[in-house]
Amino acid sequence: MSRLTEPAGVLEASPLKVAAHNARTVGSSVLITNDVGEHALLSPADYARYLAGKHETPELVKKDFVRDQHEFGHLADRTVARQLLDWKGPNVHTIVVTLRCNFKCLYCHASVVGEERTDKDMTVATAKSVVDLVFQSPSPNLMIEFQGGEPLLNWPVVKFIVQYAREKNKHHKRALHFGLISNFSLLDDAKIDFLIANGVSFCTSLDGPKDLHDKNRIFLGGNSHESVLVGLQMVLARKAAGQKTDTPNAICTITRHSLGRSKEIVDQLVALGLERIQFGPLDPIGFARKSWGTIGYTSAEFVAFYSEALDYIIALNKKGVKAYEKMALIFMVRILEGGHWRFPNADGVARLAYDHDGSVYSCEEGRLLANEGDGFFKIGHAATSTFTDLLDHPTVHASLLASNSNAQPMCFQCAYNPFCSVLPVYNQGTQGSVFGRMPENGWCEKMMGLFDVVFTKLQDPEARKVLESWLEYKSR
Amino acid sequence: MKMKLSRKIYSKDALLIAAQVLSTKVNVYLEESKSDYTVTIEAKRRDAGKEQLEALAGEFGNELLNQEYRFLVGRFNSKISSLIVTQTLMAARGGEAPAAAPAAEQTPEFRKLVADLVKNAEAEVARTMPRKIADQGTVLPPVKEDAGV
Repeated sequence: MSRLTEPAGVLEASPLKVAAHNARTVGSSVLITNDVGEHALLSPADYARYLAGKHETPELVKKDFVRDQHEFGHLADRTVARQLLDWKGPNVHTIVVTLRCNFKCLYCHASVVGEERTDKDMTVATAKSVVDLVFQSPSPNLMIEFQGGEPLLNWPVVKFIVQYAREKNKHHKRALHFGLISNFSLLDDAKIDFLIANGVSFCTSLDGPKDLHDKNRIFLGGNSHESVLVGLQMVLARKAAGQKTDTPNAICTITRHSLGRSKEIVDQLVALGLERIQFGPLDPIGFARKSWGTIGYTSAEFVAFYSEALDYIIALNKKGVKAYEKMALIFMVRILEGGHWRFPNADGVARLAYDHDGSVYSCEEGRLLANEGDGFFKIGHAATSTFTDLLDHPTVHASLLASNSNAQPMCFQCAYNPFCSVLPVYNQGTQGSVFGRMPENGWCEKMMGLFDVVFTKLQDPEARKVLESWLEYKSR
Repeated sequence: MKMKLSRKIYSKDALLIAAQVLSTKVNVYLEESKSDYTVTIEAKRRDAGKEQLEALAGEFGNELLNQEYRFLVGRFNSKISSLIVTQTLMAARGGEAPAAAPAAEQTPEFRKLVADLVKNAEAEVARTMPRKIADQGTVLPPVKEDAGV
């Protein structure tokens, strides 16, 4: 996979005609992009003529690639809309209600403890402080995600947080959502009743067929694969019966054992009626770093897996199967609609994470790094910090500066800059600084590979039609 | 391991930042003359051999280049970067005057409601949680890969 960002042999450009842009050879085309998030795919011959000031199509003019035809009002509006992001405060709040877990997954990023360690549960008093802090965020949308460990092991506190947040929201009037991220092994009808009645959505992990799933996710005293399927089917049955709940989401974590098995993995999810297929690549940070030698892989290996899986999902779509791949959908929103939908950076400003003891982190992965001894992303405590204290923390400022790809070496010259994102916590965890070193950065290599895959598919008219059709799922 | 670096090419700021970034892996000692910096790099791991030390010195060199490159990019883009960060923080704060908590949350009725929720949740915790607490500091070790179900 080439890390070169520009087509070879390009030296001169017509100064009057050629507007600032970045370029990259992708498949048989040259991709050009600009700061306002526009892109165009040109043949190498057309790109050469464009550079010479002799290729001036209505598309290139409209997309602000032709310098002497800029409409500066339009350009300024687009620049402001794209660069000066209006986050409105953190909306995703991940609450770790316990570190206890009844699973022992090979890759589990969280440093979990045994089921008897109730000292690693969030107390009711801490949960109250956390909810109070969540509501200090001015965001009109609040999403509270329950994580662990296994959050259902501290069920009374999950229930309390839902009830207390709903009571507070009667006065705050936000769009309030809840999500439960669980292995489903402790799910029962009474819990499902409560969760559905209170609008909590369900998310689990399903890594593929039984042998693969059970190898990755070890259930201490049970059948891991079966417990997930039973839980998924219980929720799906409620939905089929007309109860108001979203289709449960099942994230598929990709380990070395998954490589070469993309079709089986997709088939498993499709057979369950899950339209959303979401792959979770491993990163060598947190707990996964310790087992990286056996379950890890190179960025190129993951990109090859992803390309094969995406081909298969597109082929299924052509046969009438309704399924979409989440990462490709995010890319489509950014590439085709200019959106920064669910941007993963802006830690502390777009998302926050709360540990069982009330410690507040600018992101969930930052909490995982703290478990390894690097507390850089800890920005406060629920009992003593105010929301503005959190925003004023130097870590939040440094992360924001590092997230800005216009200030990043290599990123600012990259054709994928308008659609990509820098991940400060990955940089800190793997390279010792939130800014990172892009030429050796595994996240960068992976993202460039994934964008190569997607932009190659976009050059195939039939594949493009399928990918564009996935935009209908973006509001789900 | 020693490296001699020209002062015409490298700045002291970049050297100091690169040393800080790699401070968990290496000790870096800096000396300067009129024309050069002399950087001495020692691995923090005592068992590091010549090969590992060379790799660490290479990583230090890459980080140094990265920092020089960041200064260069910053000269082009520091104003827009600063504007973006300031605007993002102000937007996230809810503007210059963030909204106060609703007055309804200060009423005796709401306080009683919350106190009841807390009491019920604490009672459920006491009723349902396992009693046994193991010794502290027993975080589970990484599981062996072949320890399947």
